[in-house]
Amino acid sequence: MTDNHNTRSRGALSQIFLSILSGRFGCAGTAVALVLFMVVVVMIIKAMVVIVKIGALVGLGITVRNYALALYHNVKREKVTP
Amino acid sequence: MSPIEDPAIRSYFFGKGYTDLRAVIADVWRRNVASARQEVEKVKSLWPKSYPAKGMAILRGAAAASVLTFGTVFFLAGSIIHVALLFTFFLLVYLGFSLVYLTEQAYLTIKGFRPVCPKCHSKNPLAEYFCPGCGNIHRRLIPSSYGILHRICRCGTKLPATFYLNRGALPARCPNPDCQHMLTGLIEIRKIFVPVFGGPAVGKSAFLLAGLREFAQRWAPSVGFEVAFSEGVTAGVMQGGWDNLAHGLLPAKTTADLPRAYNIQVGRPGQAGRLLYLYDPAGETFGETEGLGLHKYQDYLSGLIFLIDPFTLDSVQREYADRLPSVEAGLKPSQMPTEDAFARIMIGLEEQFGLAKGARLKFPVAVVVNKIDAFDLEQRLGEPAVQARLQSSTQPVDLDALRSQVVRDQLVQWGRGDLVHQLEVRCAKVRFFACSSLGHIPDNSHRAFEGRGVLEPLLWTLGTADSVFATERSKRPS
Repeated sequence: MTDNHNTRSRGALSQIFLSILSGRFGCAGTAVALVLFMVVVVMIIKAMVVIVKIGALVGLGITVRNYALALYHNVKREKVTP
Repeated sequence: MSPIEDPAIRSYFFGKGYTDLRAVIADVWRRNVASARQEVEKVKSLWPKSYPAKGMAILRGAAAASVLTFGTVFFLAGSIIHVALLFTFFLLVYLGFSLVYLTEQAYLTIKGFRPVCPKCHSKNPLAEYFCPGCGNIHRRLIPSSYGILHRICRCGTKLPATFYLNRGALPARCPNPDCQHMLTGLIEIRKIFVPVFGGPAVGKSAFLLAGLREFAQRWAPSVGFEVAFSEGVTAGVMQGGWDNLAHGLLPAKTTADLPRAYNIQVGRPGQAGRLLYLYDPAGETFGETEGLGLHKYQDYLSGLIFLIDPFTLDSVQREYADRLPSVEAGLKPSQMPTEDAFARIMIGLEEQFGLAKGARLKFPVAVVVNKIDAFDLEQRLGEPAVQARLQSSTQPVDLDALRSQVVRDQLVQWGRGDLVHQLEVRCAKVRFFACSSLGHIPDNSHRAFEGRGVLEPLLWTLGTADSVFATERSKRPS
């Protein structure tokens, strides 16, 4: 079911692209459609970059947390035995 | 770092800091790998789902990559900063305790504050201190990797690690493994070492007892000094001796080969003051030079009181030959010639304590003619003779110098010019005194013994050795 859905998703983008190139929108329409398609693709790429950046920040946060936890658990005063 | 392991917590920057560093590095790496693995697992589970899930998968994938890349960079940078911080503090602490230790050592050496055992007489750079909390021994309680100014004993008690913070008030013992005598009182204050030397039966014990009674009960209170016996043994011996003198009983004969110092702390209320070490060796010690080598306190003397029994001198014996037999049992003339006793002291100092041949003693030497209560000796050596000399003098004179001159001249008159010459040649600071340790010839009357002229030699010796007593010496008790 999921595989079918993915196949369909990938196919949808390809079909839109192929439809634009088929010439059914006329010359001007094809040009406008191509531009719009490119804008959408760029926006998707930009969104992905933002997501990657957020991911990198999350990773950095995890790293800082790991270092702080390591310090907290390992740096301790020597105990005295009264 | 101290080679001796003391029962104390070492400074974080000298031990545990590096163990912690290793543990932190290992733990950070382990946590980063685990976090990255966790993120990758999330990516695997999210990717096949919807578009938003794919977006989350990309985000988690980026986070996993970030944990690995930034984590490694951050881990390396953090470790470098951690190491740098540890080394910086290590250096700061090292510099700190080295500086405090060096200044402390210089101060203690210059001021002569080193702990000295009154029993085995070893002078040590440091005593062994007991933790007042648990009784553990700290053999090197100095500014060190255990702490610059303080250290924490393993029991949790905070101990001063330096003289400046009154380390000397802690309970301590002699570090000599053959002795380990408990050192009581303030052990890191200025000390003055004065023995009373002289042949057998010259009256050393009686002189010391009578002199200290005058010193502690009359002179010290009159100048605002407090006197305390650091050791119970000294207090017991002194009090017992004073009680005996008050009941007309003679002090017991000194028999110990090696005398134990009488420790007396003197100072103004609330001040550390001085710690006196007074020695009363058996007269037989001066019968041979070898035995004197055991008396290690001669290595660091501050002054010396040399007692002379005038009835040892043949000229005096001849002079009083008609009356001497009747009081001889009480007088107990010393059998050791004075010259022999003095010569053995000097030979002992030369052979065993580093005094150069023919060199002068730099510390003050009080030469005291004892037993002047007998016959008319007080008239010839005591205040009457001084007053007579004073009246015949046309020039203004120093009374203390005149007293010394009277005794000196009498010794010369008794044919002891050579001894006087020897004393003046070998001693840079010498003064002559006359006294009666007991006040009267011992008999069976049990009259109390009251010494006369016993305080002056003691005060002059202390005052010449230490300016504190010199300032106060002029204030004689009424």
